[in-house]
Amino acid sequence: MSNHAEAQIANNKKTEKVFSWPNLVAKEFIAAILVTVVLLVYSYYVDAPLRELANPGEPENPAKAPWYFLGLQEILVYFDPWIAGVVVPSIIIMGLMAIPYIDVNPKGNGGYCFWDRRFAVTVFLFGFIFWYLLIIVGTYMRGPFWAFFWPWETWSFDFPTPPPLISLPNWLGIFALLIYFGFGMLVPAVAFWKFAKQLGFIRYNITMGLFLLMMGVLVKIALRLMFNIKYILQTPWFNI
Amino acid sequence: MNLILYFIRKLTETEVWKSVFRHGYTDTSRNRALQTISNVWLHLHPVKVPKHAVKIRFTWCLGGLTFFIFLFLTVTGVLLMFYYVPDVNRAYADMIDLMYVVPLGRLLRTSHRWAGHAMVITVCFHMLRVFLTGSYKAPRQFNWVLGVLLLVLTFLLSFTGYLLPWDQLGYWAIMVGTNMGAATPVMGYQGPFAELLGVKINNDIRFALLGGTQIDAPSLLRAYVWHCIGIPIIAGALMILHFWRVRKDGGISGPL
Amino acid sequence: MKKKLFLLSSILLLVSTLMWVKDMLEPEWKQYQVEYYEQQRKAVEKQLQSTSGEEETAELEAKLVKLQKPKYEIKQILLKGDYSWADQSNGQKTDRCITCHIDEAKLAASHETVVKDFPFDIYGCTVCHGGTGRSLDEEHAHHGIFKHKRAMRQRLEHADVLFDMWNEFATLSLEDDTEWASFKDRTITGEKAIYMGSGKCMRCHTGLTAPHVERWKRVKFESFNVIKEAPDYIAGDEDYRKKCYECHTTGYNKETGTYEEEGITCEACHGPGEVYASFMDRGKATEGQKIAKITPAYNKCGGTEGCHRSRRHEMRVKFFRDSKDHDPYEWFKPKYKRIVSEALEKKKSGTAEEVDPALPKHNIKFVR
Repeated sequence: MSNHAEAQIANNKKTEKVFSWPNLVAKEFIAAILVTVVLLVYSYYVDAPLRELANPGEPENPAKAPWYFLGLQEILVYFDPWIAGVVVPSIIIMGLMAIPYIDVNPKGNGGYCFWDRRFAVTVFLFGFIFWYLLIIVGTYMRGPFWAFFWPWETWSFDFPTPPPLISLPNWLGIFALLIYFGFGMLVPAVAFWKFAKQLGFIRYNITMGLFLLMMGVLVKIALRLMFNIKYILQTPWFNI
Repeated sequence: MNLILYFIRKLTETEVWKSVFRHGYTDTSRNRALQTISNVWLHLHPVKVPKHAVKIRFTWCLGGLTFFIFLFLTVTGVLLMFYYVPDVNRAYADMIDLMYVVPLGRLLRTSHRWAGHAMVITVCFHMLRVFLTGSYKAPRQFNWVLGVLLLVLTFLLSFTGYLLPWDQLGYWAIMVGTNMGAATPVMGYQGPFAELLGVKINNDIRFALLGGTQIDAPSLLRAYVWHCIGIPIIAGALMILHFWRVRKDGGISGPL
Repeated sequence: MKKKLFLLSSILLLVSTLMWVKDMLEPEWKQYQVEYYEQQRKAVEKQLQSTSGEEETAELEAKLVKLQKPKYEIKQILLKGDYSWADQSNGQKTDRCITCHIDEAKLAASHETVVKDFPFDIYGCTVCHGGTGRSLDEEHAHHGIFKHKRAMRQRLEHADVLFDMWNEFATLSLEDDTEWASFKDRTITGEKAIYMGSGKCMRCHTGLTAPHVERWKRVKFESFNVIKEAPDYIAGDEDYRKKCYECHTTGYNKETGTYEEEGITCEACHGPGEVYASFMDRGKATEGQKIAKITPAYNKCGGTEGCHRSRRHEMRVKFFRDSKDHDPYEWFKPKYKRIVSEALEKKKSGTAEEVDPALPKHNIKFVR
C-alpha cells in the first residue's frame, strides 16, 4: 500500500461522516420542538409586559432601553453620549468583524481549545462577560435617575447625593492618554516580540488598539468609581 | 393487517402519491441521501455531515435554533399583523384586544415577545460558540463578518419591535435609544462637530430615525415598516448568504 | 434514546398546545357567566315549581330552555366619543366589564341612585369607576379602579378630576350638543350633589367676602320671606306655591316639588355645595373655588329656563285683578312702584311738585 492511500484512510477516519437524515435532522427537529415547548409554556405563565399608554408628558423613571442595550446605557454614566451611544458600539461591531482578519493563529480551528489560543479566548471572553455584567448592572441595579442600588435594596428617590466630579487638567489628561496608549502599544511589542512579529505591524496595531480601547473603558470606569474623575480630556468640541 | 398493507402499497403506487413523494422510505443509503437532496427544506443540509458535528455539545444547536426562532417570529409576527395597526390612536388598544379578545392572541403576542428576546440570546451565544471553536478562521472569515451583521440586525429587529405596543415601556426605551443617536459625531445635532454640516434637530440622524423631532405617529410607522418589512428582508438576504457560505466554505467547522 | 426523546418532546408539545387551547376555550371570564346562568336557571326552576298558570309555565319553560344552553360570549358597551392619542385615549372606547359583571338586575339595584340618569348601555362603567374597560383580565381591568363611593371621593384630589368627568359625561351622552355644564350638579359618584345650606358658607364667608355676601344676604336671601307675606301666596294651594318655589328657593326639585333652602341663597347660583364645600373644609379652597366660580348658571337668571324673564308673574295677574282687597302695586308690581316713586322723589327735590294723588299711598318697603 502506498503512502498516499494510507493518508487517505487516516483522513477518512478523522472526518468520519454520517447521513444528515436522520442523524442531524432528528436532533434539529427535537431541539426545535423543545424550544417551541419552552416558548409556549413560558408565554403561558409570564405575560409580555404592557405598561400604560405612551405618554410624552410623563417620563418613566428610570427610562431604560431594551435589556440588550443596557450595557451601552450603563456606560453612559462614565462617558458622554457620543462615546457611549455611538463610538463604543461602532468600535465593538468593527472590532468583531475584524476578528477573523487579525487572528492569524491557525490553531484551534473547529474545536474547543484554550491553551493554543490563550490570548484570543481570554480577551473575547472578557469582553463578552464585561458586556453582560454591564447589562446586569443596568437591569437590576439602576433605579430612579439611574442611581445605583444593590439588588436587595428597594428603589427610592432619596439616595445619597453623589460626590462632586472632578476633571483632570488637560496637560495631565493628554499625558495620561499618551502614556496609556504609548506604553500599551510598545510594552507588549517588546515583551511578546514573537507574538507581535507573528501578527505583523498593521495587525498588531489594530489588535492592540482595540484591546486598549476595551480596557480603556474599564480604566475610565475605575477612575470614576475610585477618584470621581469626570473627564480625562476636555476640548471645546468634545470631552473624553 | 394484510389488507391495510395492501392498501398502503396501492396508495403509494398511485400517480398522485408518486408525483408528490419522489422516493421510497425504505432505509437505504440512497433514500437517506434523497431525503436530504430532494426536499427543498432539508437540502440546506449536506447529505453527509462529519460525525463530530452532530454532537449537541459541539454546536449546542445555537445557530439552527436562532434560525428556527426567526421562523417562529415570522409566523407569529405575520399573524399579529392581521390585528395590529400602527396608528398612534389605536395601537395600544389593539394590544389589549390582542391580549384578551383575539382567540390565542395572548399566545401570539407573548410568545412573539419572548421569542424575540430568546433570539437575541441564542444569537449572542451562537457567536460565542463560533468564537470558542475557532470557526471563524480561514476560510470562514467572511462568514463571521456576515454573522456579526446578522447580530446587529437581530438587535435592530428587536429594538424596532419595542416601540410597537405604544406603551410607556417602549416609548421611553426608544427615547433613550434615539437620543443616543442624536449624539452621533457630525451627524447628530447634539454630537460633537454637528455645526460643521449645519446639522440641527430637524435634519440629523435622529430625525431620520424618528421621522420627526419627537416620537410620534411617523416614528411608529417607521418602526413598524422597518420591523415587519425592511429589516426582515435584509436579515433574510444575509441569512441566505450566511447559510450558503457555511456550505461553500467547507461545511460545518471541524478539526483540520 | 433519540426516539424516546422525540416521543417525550412531542408529548410536551402536545401538552403545551392543549394548555393554550384550554386557555382559549375556557377564558377567565367564562366562569362568571357559567355561574350566573346556573343561578338564573335554578331560580327559574324554582319559579316553575311554584307556578300553576299554563301561560306562565310555558313562558318559564321557554326561558329555561334558553338558560340551559347559554351562549358564553364577550359582552361590551361601545361608547361614544373620539379617541386620539393626543387626548391620552386609544382605540374606540369600549367597556367590557359586563362580560363578568353580567347580572344586570343586580347592577341596577346597586346603582339605583344613578342608573336612571346614566344608563349603563350609554355611559358604560369606567367613566365613574376608572380601570381598563377594554381588558378582560381581572388584574389588568381592575388596575386603578374606584370600587366604592369612598374610593371615588378619595380620587377627588383636584377640581379638574370632576371637570374631566363632566366632560366625559357630555361626550358619552347621546345628544350631540350636550355640554358639560348639564352635569355640573353631579358629584364624583355621578349622584346629584347635596345642598349644604347657606349656613355652612356663612361660617367663613360673612367675613371673607363681605360686600358680596352682605348684598345678597340682605336682598335675595330674603326674597322668600317677602313672598310668604304675599296675599296670593297665602291664598294659593301647594301647586300654586310651587311656581314660587321654582325661583325663590334654593335647590328646587321639579319632580318632587321640594326645595332645599328658602330664599335665593349661595347654592342657587354657585350650585350644590357638596364638592366645593368639602374642598374648602379640607383646606383646598382654591380647588373648591374653581368649582364654585364656574357654577353660576346664567340660565338660572334669564333665558328660557331662568327666573328673570318678562311675564314671569303672569299667573298672579288673575289673583290681583279679582281681588279688591289688595293693591297690585304693593304686591304685584313693586318694582314699577319703586321706579315711579323714585322718579317722583327726584322731581320733588328738583321742582318741589306735588305728589300725584292718583298714586297709592302705601309706604311698603320692597326689601327688608
